[in-house]
Amino acid sequence: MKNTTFTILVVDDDENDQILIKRTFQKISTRATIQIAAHGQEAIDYMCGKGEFADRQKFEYPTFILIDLKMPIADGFAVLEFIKKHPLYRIIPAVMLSASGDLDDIKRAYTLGASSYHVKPSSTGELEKMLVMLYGYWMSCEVPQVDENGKQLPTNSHGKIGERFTEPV
Amino acid sequence: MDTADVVLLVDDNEDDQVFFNRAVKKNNFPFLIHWARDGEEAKDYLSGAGEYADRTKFPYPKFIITDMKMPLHDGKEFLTWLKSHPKLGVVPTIIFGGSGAAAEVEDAYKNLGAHSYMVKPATSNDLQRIVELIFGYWAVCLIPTHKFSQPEPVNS
Repeated sequence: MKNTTFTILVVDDDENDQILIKRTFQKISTRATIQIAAHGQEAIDYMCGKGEFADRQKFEYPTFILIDLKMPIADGFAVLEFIKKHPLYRIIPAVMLSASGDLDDIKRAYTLGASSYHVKPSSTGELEKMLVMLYGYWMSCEVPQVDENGKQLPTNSHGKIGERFTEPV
Repeated sequence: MDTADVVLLVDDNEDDQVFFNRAVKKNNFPFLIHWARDGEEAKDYLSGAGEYADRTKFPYPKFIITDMKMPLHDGKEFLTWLKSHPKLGVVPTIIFGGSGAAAEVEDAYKNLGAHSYMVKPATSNDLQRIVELIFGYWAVCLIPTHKFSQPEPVNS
């Protein structure tokens, strides 16, 4: 039994980018639910299932997470650090999408365990193209299975993104 | 992009190597593939041993694609080695050609530090699609060693 829907968590404080990213993913996929976190702390709360995010029916654990770097309250590094230091969450692919091409930022992101780092193109068309490519790539990757709360599932089956919740909970 | 970046392909299968090269040429991806037949050769390349010391000729790779099953020094051993050598500079590693078994996938992300894990598709059409996807993706990635011919020196 394959679960055919999945959630992508987008962490970005720019409203225009939020809208564009959401719209682009929805255009290319009928299976993806896009959740937005407006800053790093909100993303961490989402992952932990804190407050309103406790409702995992509504706020499903994400299959992959797209993180902006420069954000108020808690930045993208804080999110990365949180996810990658947490043994239960660290296997989730975390892709950085930032306006900054600063070499120190890039190095720090990879050191903290980012899956990859992309500079956000300035034009809408280019950004759309990049999102389509990111989506296509991660849909073809094998990812470890986790349960609906992001905890690893001991299982013998395997799957790609969107096929992860194959075990009865 | 000014010059082509080197991609280190670690794979014992010569057909795969030909296939990857063809995909790069056909799509004009800005990559130059350096083929290492096993983990041992890949280690030499990364650590700049022997002839590989010449980084003008053998630049540090932008990313690494590695098979899991190889006769000498398999993918697991190679990635474990890479992880235990932090001075070598952070370089994304893509596993291509694993079994796809859950335990192996989990081990790859959790313990081996793989950046992504792909199962080799059975048909050549799917294979071509995946290979183009990999190059297309990493072509627009920035990595710490990008534009550097060798790992950045450690400083503050």
